[in-house]
Amino acid sequence: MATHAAVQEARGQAAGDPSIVVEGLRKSFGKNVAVDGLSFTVHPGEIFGLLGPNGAGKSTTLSIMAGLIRPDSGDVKIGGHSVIRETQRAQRLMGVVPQGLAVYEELTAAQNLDYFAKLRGIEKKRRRQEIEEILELVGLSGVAHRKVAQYSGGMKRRLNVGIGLLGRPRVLLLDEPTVGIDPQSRRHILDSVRRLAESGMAVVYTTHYMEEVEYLCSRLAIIDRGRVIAHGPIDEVRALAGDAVVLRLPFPRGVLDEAAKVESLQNTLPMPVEVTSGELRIVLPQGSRQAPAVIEELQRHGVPLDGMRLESPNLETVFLSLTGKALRDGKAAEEGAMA
Amino acid sequence: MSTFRRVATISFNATLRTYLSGSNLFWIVAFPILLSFLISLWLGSDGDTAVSRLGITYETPRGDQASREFVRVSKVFGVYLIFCFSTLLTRAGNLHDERRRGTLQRTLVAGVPYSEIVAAHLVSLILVGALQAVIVLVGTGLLGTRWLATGWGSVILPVAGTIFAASGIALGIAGLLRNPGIVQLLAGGAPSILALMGGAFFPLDVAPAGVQRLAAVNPMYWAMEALSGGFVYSGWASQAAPMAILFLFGVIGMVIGVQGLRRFEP
Amino acid sequence: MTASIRQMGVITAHLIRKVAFNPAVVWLIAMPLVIIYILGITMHGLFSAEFTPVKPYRIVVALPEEAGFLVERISRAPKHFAVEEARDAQEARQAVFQRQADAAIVAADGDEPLTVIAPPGSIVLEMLAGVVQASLEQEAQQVAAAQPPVENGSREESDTGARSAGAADGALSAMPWEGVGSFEYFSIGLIVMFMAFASHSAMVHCVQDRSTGAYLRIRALGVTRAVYLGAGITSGMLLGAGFSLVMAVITWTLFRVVWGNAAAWALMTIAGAASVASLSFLLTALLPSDPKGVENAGGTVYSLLAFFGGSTVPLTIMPRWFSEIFSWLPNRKMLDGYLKIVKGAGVKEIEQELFGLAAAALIMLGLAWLVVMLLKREEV
Repeated sequence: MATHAAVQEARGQAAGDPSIVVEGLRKSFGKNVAVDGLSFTVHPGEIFGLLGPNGAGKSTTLSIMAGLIRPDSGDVKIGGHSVIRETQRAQRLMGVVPQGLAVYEELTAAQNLDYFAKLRGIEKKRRRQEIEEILELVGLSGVAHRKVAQYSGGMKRRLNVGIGLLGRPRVLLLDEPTVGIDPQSRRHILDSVRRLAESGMAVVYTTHYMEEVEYLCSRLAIIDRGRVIAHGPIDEVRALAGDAVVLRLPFPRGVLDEAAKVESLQNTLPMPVEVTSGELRIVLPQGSRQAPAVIEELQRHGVPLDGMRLESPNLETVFLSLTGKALRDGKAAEEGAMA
Repeated sequence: MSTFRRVATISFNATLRTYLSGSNLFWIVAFPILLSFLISLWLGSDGDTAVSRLGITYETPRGDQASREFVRVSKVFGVYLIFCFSTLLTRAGNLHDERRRGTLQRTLVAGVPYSEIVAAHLVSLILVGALQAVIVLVGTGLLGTRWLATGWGSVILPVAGTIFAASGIALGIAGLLRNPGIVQLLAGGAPSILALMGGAFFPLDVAPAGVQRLAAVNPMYWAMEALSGGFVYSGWASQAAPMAILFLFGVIGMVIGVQGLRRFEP
Repeated sequence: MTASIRQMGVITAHLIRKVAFNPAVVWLIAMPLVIIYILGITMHGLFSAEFTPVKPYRIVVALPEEAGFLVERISRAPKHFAVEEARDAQEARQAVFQRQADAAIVAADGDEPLTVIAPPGSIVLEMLAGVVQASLEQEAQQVAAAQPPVENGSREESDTGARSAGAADGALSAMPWEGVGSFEYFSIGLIVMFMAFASHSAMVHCVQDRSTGAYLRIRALGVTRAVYLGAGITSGMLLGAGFSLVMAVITWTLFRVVWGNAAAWALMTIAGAASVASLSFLLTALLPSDPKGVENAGGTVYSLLAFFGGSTVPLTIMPRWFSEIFSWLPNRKMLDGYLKIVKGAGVKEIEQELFGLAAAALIMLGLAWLVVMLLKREEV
């Protein structure tokens, strides 16, 4: 995994000019700030991860990058073309995979690909060849002429990715492409994305699954409420957790489900505390040596504990330690989402 | 790729998808044909029952036998009107549906301007309507409705006017409403009410003065007028005014639709 | 047995709750009310024996002097006809052709038959033909008897109107809709139609339960298939009857529809609800695992039944032979029954309809059960 990231980084630096430049992107919907000063660059052959919980502003960022939403300020350049001033030129260089299943279920996979290929202006001869290649890449060759309505969720997701690859784009924007699918299809999509990056494509990959970012990306930005809270190569971001570990304490169901109790715990303990279903997760910034004191404090509060587990730091730990909440929680209010 | 080809590709795709669905096929063409056939069972071919019973001579305004077919043709046309409007009003929500699916965004990212997508949406409404008209008219024709009894113009003009007006109105509704539930409700109920109030199934003479005045803003009334103008009266000369009004309905709907859809531009 | 009944009660309550607290219920009530209102106003003339057009029909005549009696007779109904004389038959024909007149009566000379020129299927044609025929018959009688007729102008006008509306015809006097106003007729028609939709929604939920897995969960609790299906039919019946009751109150409040004998109404409602629930059960039995299919099938079947059973297209404008062909339909039985009730009938007078509905319910239940048994597959 680390080797893959290093190769990407080296490939990106060797490639020279970045394929994607995002500069000071800002976007509000009424009083709600969806994206707040986001900047990053992505080089050819690199997979850049945008990690954040639901409602963090990932989809809005991608919509702006795709030229679908105008930012209040800032700009995005794709292959040197501004998506604001030269929208169509920039769009010609990119492929987009929206979060929703943007496919026509009444048509077959081949018909879907053919339709969007026509709209991209791909010539007939090349179109045929490209569709075959994409079907092969996403593993749908055998069912290309079956109606999409008859596909499984994973197959539909793979087609969704495939359509984004039409026109051999230099830049690929993927918005949570693996939501709600089986592990096999997920793996297939992740491997395809890797292969595409290896062929020189610059990829922006948004997700709230930190393990996907760790598997795919060389660099990432962790965003929350539209703001970048951590940014850089994956190891550097992981290092932000320092000596921190996560103390995971399962408790009997229903004991800590009252907001007031959680709040009192959060006020009592001088570190980020998160209550998920059936589990209390506490970030220990100074490592495992803080655990005995914390457990003692909990027992003083009468929290019935049912075992404990210490977890080494990962991206989720970083997010938890920086925001005090888990990546997979958060409000599902993705304004201006692409789908 | 030229604008024309992009619009053609999108509208053809939307039309194809409409007719690929079994349930659409049933509601858009099979059911209207079946219903028309059942209605036509009770209608005699010449319709002058009172006169034949009384034994005096009867003439239609055109003075030919063929125009007596109007009694049957007008009722079947009434059924067609309901299903034409209901089909196109239902399709009105397509653009919003594409937005929800994400295919609209995908099309935009493929480099197609929003104005072309709206234009293609309108063209697809007209195509869906035209294809429906061909299938329903041929189907009911094979089952005994003599559409061409008084010539092509008598039926083609009202059908074309209806499709144009209904497509325009559907686009107008798409521009005003984006809630699929409300559009569905409108598409399900409004056409039948408009047909009844437009004199599609019984002469409007029996309705009170207020209802008769309301017919002036009912496109179905003008479609029926265009049909009777062709079948019963002086043909094109009688059809010109209702056709112009149908055209006006279409244009007004399209203007409202285009303006309204601009509000929803991503 | 007691446990089964208790289970059926619980499931029935659950299904009713699912349907009754659905936003679609607003549509189910608002939609028929709007249609009743529009049809009630629009078709008022069809249910009135005193039909008078909004403006008198413009009649152009080109008749020889001997036919002067005819012009005089038509002119006696100024609210119905405005008579103008044309120079000749050609001018009269042109006037109608160019829509300057609604109809014309022409005869080249005394030997030629009278010709009425008017749009086919129009009311003016029916009215004019009636008046012409009556005049000719009367003239013939007068000539034969050689004595002048004694007539009253105002009575003449009333006769003309009555004939035109087609309701004073002796042959129609026994028709169930006679003496019923348009609001009463369409309130009954639309309630009968939408009662089927209300009832059907319960069965659709039953099929949905199968596709969501709720059915399996319920079966796993020890509920038999018969109990589950029984609960579906019962909830369909209760929803149909409940809908009828709500609509009866609303139409009484809004449109002043007096629903007559309460016992007769209640029996008719129960029998009607049983028949529509049984029909829904039959449709469900045919498409046991396709909720959308069951919904569509219900929509199609009930729309067709409403059409041929006189709910949406009133029986008044159907040819008699045509309406008789479909008089066996359960929804038509309900329509006839309710029409009798609003006209003052008691339980005894609607026995025939009640029997018909009960028989229809039993037959459809039997058929549905047969289908259920035939399509049983592996399910126990």
